[in-house]
Amino acid sequence: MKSTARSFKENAHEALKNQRLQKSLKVMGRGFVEKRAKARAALPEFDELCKQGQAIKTHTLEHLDLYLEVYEKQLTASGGHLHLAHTAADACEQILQICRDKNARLITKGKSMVAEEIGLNERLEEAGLRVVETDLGEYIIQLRKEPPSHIVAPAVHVGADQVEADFRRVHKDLPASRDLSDPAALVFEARNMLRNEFIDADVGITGANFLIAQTGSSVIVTNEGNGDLTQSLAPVHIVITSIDKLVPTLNDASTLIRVLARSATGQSITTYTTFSTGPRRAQDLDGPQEYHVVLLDNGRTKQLASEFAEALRCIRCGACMNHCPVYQSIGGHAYGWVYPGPIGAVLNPSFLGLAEAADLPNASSLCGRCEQVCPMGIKLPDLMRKWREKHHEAGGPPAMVRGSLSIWAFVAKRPRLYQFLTGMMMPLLGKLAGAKRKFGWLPLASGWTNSRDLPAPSGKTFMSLLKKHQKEGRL
Amino acid sequence: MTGFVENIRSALGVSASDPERLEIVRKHLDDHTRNLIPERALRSHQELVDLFIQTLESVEATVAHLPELADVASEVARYQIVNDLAHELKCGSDTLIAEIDWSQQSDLKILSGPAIGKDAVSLTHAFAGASETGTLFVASGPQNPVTLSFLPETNIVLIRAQDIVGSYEDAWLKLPWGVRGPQMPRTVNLISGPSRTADIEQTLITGAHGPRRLHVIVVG
Repeated sequence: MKSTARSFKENAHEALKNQRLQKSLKVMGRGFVEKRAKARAALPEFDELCKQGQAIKTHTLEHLDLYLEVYEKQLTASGGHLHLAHTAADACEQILQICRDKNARLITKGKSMVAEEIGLNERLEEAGLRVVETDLGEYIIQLRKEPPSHIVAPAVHVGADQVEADFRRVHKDLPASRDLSDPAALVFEARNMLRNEFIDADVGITGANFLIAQTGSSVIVTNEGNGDLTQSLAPVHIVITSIDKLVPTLNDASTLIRVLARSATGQSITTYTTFSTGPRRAQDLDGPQEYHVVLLDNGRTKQLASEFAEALRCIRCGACMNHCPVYQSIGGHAYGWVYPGPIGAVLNPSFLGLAEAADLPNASSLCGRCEQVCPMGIKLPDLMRKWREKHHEAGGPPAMVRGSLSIWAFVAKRPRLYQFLTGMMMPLLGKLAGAKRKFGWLPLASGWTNSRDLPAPSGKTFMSLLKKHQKEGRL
Repeated sequence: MTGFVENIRSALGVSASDPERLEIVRKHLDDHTRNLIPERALRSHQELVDLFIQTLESVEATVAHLPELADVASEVARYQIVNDLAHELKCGSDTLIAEIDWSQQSDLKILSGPAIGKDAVSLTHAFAGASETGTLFVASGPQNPVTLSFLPETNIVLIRAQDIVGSYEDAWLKLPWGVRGPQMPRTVNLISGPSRTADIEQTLITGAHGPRRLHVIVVG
C-alpha cells in the first residue's frame, strides 16, 4: 500500500473538516469502548489472561527461531508448503507465482492486514487476475477503491447510505427499484453477489491471526464465515501472514483467543475460529487440494533486535485505536498507511522509515488509554516517545521547534531562573487576560489559539502560593 | 529456512545449538502446560451443559436438548416445518448421524456428501463443545465435509451431552492425540452462533456469508 503518512498533518486537517467522516466517527462513537468494557467485566480472569498472553508472546519471540523450525516441520508433515518472504515484493511474487502455476483467473480473499501491508491486490490485478474481497467491510472499500480505515472494521468510515449508493452503482443487473434502506438488505445483497465467486474461485487467500508450531496450523477468526468459504471452496488455499503470528501450542492459542475478541469487538469469541492444517486429506470430499503459507518478515526481524521489539506482541485487536482520542477525531485514513491509531504510530515508522512517518508518533497526547487497554501490554506511549527522541536526535524537527525546545530545556533545568521568569510572566498574563480569563489570540501561540481559547493563568505561580501558605502556617 | 532463521538468531543474539534454549522449547511443547482456565469452564458437568445452552442462545443460536438419539429425527422435522425449510438434509458419513432412524420422517430427503450451492440445510456432528463461550468444535473429513458448516443457509449441529466440556483446552483432548499433540484434520471449526456482521455502521446483522440459522441438538 502506498503511504501518505508524510502528509499526516494535512490529512488530519482534512479529516476534521470532512462532515461525512465526522458523522461516521460519531456513529462509531463509544460502541467498541463500551462493548470491550462489558466483556472484560463479564470475565473476572480477563486481566490475568492478558498477562499470560503477553508472557506467551514474549516467550515465543525470544525463541522464535526454534519455534519457526518446529512450525515448518509440522506444516510440511501435514502436506503444506512454506514460502519465506523477506520483503513485501518477495511475498507478492511468491503468491503470484502460485496463482500462475494454477492458471488462476479468479481469486477470493478473506480479510488480511498483511495483504494490505504488501499491496497484494494491486500486484495481482496488475498481473491480470480478478481479486474479490469477501469480508463485507473489505468488499465495500474495494468497491470504493479505498484502503481500510480500521484494522478490525475496515469500512467503519462509510455510512449505510454510501454503501447503498455503491451497491446501486456496481450491481447494475439488479432491479433499480429494490429497497436497500435497511442494512440487512445490503448484507443480503452482498451475500448473494459473492456466493458464486466463492464457488468459482481458483485460489482462496486468507490471512492468519495465529500460527501454531505444535501442529503446523494457521488460525483465522471471523464472524461472517467468508474466510471459511474462501479457504474451503477454492482448490488452492494460500495463507499470507507474518512471523509475529506464531505461538507454540493450541493451549497458548486458546489463552490468546480468550482475550482477542473481547478486546476487539467485545464478543467472548468470534462466531468462527478456524484451525487449518495442510490440504484436504486423501479421504476428504472437500477442502483445498493445496495449502501454501507465505511467511513474511518485512523488517520484523530487524524490529526484534530493536527497542521496539515489544510491539511484535500485537494481536491486531484494534483496542488502542478504539480508545484513542486522536483516532476518534480523525479516523484511520489520516494516518496514511495500513496500521492506524497508536499501534500504527509505533509500527509505521519501522515499516516506512522515520522520514516518512515521523508525524505519527507525534499524533498523540500520550494520555495512556491505549496502553491501558492493550491486551498485550504494549507500552505504546513509551514507544511513541522513543520515536520522537529518535526523530529529534536525527535532526528531524524544524529549527524553530528544536530551538524552542532547547530554550525550554535550558530554563526548565534551572529552578531559580524558571521561578524568576514565571514569577514575572504569570501576573502579566493574568492582567492581560482581563475579565474573560482566557485568550483568543497570543503571539507565538496561534497553533493553540486558532482552534480554541487558552485559559489565562490566575496571576500567581504554584511556588509563590506554596511559599505564602507555608508562611501563614496553612500547610 | 536458512537465512530467514539465521537472521532471527542474529537479531536475538543466540546460537542454534544452545542446549538450554532447545530444552526450554522442547519442554514447552511436550509438557502440554495449560495457562489459566476461567472459573466458568470449571463447573460440574450439569452446570456446564446448562451454560453451554444458555451461551449459545445468547448469540442467536437455537438449542434443543433431547434425552435420546431416537428423538433427533422428529426434532429435525419439527425444526424444518417451524422455519419453513426445504424437507432436505445434507450430511456426511458420520457414524453417530448414521445411527439416526429417519424411517418415521418419510417426506424428509437425506442427502450425503459435501455441500453444493443449492443445499438449504445441513446436519453435522460436533466432536466437542466448550461451555465457556458456547462453542462447537467440528472436525472436517468425510464424516463432516467442511462446506456443510458454511454453505447452506441453515446448519443443524448434533452434539452428545457427554462431549460438552468447560474449556477449549478440554475440547482439544477429544481429538485423537499423538505424542506432540492432537492429530489435526484439515480444519477444526470452532462455531459459536450463526454467521453475522457489524461492518455497516456497527449494526449487528445475522446471516452474512455463512449460515443464517444455527440449530444445536444436544443429546443425552
